[in-house]
Amino acid sequence: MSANVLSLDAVQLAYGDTVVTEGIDLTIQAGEWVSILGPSGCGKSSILRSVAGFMEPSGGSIELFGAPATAPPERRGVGMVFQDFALFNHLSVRDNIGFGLRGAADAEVRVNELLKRCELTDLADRLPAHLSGGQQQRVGLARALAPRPKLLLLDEPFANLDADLRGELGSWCAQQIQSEGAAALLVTHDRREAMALSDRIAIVDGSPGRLLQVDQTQALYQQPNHQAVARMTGEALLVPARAADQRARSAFGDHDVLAKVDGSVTLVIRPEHMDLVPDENGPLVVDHSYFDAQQWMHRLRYNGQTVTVAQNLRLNANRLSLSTQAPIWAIAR
Amino acid sequence: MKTPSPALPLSLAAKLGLLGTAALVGLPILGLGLAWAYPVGLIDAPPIHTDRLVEATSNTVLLALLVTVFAVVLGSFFAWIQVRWIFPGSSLLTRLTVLPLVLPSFLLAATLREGLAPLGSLGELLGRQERFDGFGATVFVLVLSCTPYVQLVVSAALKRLPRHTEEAAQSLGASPIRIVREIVLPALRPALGFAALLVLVYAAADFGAVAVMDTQVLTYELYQFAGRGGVQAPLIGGLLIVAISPLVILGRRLGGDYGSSELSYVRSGHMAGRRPALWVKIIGTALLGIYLIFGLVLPLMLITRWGLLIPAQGPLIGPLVTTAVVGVTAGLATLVLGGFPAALVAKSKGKRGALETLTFVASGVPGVMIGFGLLQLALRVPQGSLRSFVEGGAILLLGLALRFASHSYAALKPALLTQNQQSVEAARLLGASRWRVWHRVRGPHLAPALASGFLLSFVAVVKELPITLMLIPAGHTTLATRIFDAHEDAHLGDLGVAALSLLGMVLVAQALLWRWSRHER
Amino acid sequence: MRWLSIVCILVATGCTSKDQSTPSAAQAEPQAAPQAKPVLTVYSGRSALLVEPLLNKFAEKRGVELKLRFDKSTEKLANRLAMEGDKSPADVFFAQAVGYLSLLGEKGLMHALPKRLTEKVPNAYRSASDYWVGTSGRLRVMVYSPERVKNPPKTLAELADPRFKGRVGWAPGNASLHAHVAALQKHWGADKTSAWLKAMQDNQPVVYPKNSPQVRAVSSGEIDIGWVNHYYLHKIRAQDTSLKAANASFSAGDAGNLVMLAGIGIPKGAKNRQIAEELIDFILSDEGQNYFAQKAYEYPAKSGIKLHPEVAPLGNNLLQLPQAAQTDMAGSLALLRALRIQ
Repeated sequence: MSANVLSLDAVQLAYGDTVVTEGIDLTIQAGEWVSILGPSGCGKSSILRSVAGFMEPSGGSIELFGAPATAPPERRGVGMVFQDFALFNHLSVRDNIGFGLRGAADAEVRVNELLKRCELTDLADRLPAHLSGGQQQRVGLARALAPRPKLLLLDEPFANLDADLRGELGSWCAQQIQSEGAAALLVTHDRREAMALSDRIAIVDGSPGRLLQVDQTQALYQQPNHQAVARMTGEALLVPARAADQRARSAFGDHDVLAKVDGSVTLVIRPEHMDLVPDENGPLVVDHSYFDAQQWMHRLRYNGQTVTVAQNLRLNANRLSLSTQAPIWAIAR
Repeated sequence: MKTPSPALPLSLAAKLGLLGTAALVGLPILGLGLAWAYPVGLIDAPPIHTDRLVEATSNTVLLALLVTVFAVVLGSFFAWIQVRWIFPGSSLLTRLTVLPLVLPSFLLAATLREGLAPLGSLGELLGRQERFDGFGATVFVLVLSCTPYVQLVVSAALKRLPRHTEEAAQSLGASPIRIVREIVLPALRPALGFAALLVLVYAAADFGAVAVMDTQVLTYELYQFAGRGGVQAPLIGGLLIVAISPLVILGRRLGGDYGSSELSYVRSGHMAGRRPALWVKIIGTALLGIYLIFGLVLPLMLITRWGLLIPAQGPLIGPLVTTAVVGVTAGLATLVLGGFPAALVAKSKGKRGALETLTFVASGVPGVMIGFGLLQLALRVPQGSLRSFVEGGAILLLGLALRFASHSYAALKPALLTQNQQSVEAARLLGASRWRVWHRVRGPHLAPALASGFLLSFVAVVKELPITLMLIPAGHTTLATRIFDAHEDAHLGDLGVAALSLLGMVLVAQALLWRWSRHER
Repeated sequence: MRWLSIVCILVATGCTSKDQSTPSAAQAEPQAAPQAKPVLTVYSGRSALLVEPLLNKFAEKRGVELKLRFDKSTEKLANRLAMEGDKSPADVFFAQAVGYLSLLGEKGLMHALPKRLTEKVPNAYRSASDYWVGTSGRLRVMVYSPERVKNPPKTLAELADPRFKGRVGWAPGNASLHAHVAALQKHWGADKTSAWLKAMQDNQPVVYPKNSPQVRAVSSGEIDIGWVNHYYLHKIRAQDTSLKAANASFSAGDAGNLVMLAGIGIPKGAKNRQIAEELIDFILSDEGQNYFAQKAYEYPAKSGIKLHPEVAPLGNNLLQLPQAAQTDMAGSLALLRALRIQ
């Protein structure tokens, strides 16, 4: 018996003849938080819907709690939180939270507990329409947690909220889910959200969407296996180079290379590895510089890419060149 | 530099117009009152048969209730199939179920009565022994007529209901039955309530089907007594108002803005989860099939056969032209009568007042009532000038505009409400004159609403029977009255040709309407 | 939003002026022409399909503009005339049953017709008071299905026999039926007539708004027997040869065998009495009478006009009653209403 809460094996999803994702392999362990990060249209929400049972995979298999997932959605024991909250507008906050607890002996206790934990006690008798967006999503989460699911699916739950609220509610959410001991699968297109909340991230890209890399956040940032992964995990300059014996030569000079790749490679130069030097003939063009809380931000343009680099000092130059001291990650081309 | 003009107070003209509108709405009632107070008849009015009135009243109520129950159940079921059940050909099929809307109830009734008679084309096939008329047949016909209205209202509400809501309930362990009972039905309650009242009023006010089927309800009684003089007709008219006006007012309360909101064309996306159970599929298919056979296939088949095979005697061009002229002029009159309150209500930022209720109450008054009231009024005014009004069709236009003002109102109000003051201000700042603002900014914004209000009214007017029948100027026939008369004369050839022409006219307008509303999305 | 009220008023005034012009615009362009044609307004309880071609022929010959108001109910039109009184625009009232013309005449709402018009037809087609003149006669008959009814009733009384329960149709709103009931009251007396009507009523007859749908209903199997005038069958069969129905008369001298008169008269409000008389003259001419015989399958009022070949001659089967017997519409309607038939 596997300890995996969820395991996807070569899952392919399609609407009619249109394949939206394929080759999805992913496992989630008990209590783990995994995010699927990808641009819109890569089919990441469909993965969630197939796990919930709203959609049948057209290939591959899904196992939930160690057994093939064939039950209809209402018998899968999986909780779900929606981007549009999907609250029952005609039911009070209390009845929304208690909806999944019908027949449970401790329903009332459980609802009160969640109301208290989610700071909704004072709003218990209101209708959802009279709540703010953040409050509504707290109800959505409490409702999904109420039946104590072992796996919670979150479909861009914070996308409809203000930026300020998003980070705050995200980490609060993570706490609640953690304290319930549930595993979570979050779908998002927001890098910061995914990195702030996840133990591991699965990067999906392309059309149909394919799984590019699954790893812990730091590993993804430092050792992406694909240019798209490098771009999606943070600011970076992607520079073509030729590498041999862990040395590479690019338009920016010679570098030590971390990865053991030879031939045509793409260097992934993260801002923290950039020592920027004013240089009238340098390859980097300074678009714009501005001061933002403690640091000077420089928006640089190179070869069609833009990257924003923070420096302690303002660089009074139109063009820059760059030197790197630390070894750089490279991806074979 | 030009500054945006401040909001103007209600001008004197607007107040007068408001008063005038209210007076117009009161005219049929005034006519009814006069007929009551000063009865004129060739033969002394016979005593009123109380039991006949009681029977007609109870028939009206029972008919309306039965039609409402059946139409709401059937229409909601079709709406559910339309929105949530995707199968090959489903969109075509559900679009077909809305098509009986183009058939006026008297035409549907006439074709079904003929087709389902013991030796009629379908009656013989089914081995029917009974004739198809009376109360039960009327219920059947009106259910067919009203189901599309329910389907349109409920499917629009279903589409607005986020699919995620049902999925959320499902992921919380709710069974399909519990989802329908606890999530879908409560969410649809306003729409169902509105649809129910729509049908209730439609069925209680219907004249065509009950006349063809010879069902003794208040509207048909009023029509029959209308030509006899005496106090019976105004008495029946009064009963009719008492029976229907609470429904109309209640409908406005319950329905909220359902009547005025346009139908949404949001794609529902791909239906997830399990397919419907086999028995649901079988029942669904059977009901759809039966509905389409009786509501569409059989009537169209008979009309076509009569129109093509039996030589018509009467002229066609005259009624065709008259119908078009009446449809266009009454459609425009409706825009004025419905647009005026819409503009005033929009001006008060959408506060629904007595004015809106007035507009809808006027439109809920049965056509027979409007026709009778206006005719009595005109006949009793001693001067000849108003008489010539009747003869000329002014009263017909007024009656039709009163009856259908709510169509234009509902189409125009949202457009007037959403008129963007900022874009007007922007245009003024860019140097546009008032006229230019109208021409380039306000006009184009209102044009689609004006067009759809006009087309909706046009379709309703050309399908209308009782007002046209009672108020049409001497010597003129419309396609609708021609169909009605041809049925009574048993001239099926004339009926077929006139019906085909009417359907053609309605379909063209309807197609324009559908295209237009899709463009707007 | 001052513009709005202005627009409304403009449109409203525009509408009004247009409406006023509608009658003339819709009726004819002649108003624009220098010499306007005289206008003749005809109220007709006889159907448009039947009389319109004949009236148009007259209009063309005489150079008048016609305004026609048709109503399937002669009673309704008569009431309308009563309500309009001497302000009625009607110049001519063409009634399906002469009883209503008599009623209007008694109320002083009809002009007396000149002798030169009434004397064109035999006495049986004339009113004692000259308020109207008969234009044609229609025989009261049964229309029935020879397949389903092997032995049609021999007498009118037998039509109420329980063996026809639910299988007989009638049109209690029809003026010919009113006239027939009026005649029965004279012939049978009030009690017998009332008893017979009650027996008919107990047999649950199928109610139709007019006579012609009964012919159709016999053919489509809705009913087995309809109580109608003779010509509906011929008219509908001329259109639709698949019609499965036949006419039957009652036995000689029975109360069912009556000829009902259609007639014409000039209401008090008539503005063109002269032309109205010309129209009546035209209707009573050989051309007009031939039209009713050939196109309407009716019995012409004037003697010496040939019947349509499909129409059986009247012979000696008729019940002999004075024509005044069928004009007591008030008595007939009072009885029908007391019995809640109408």
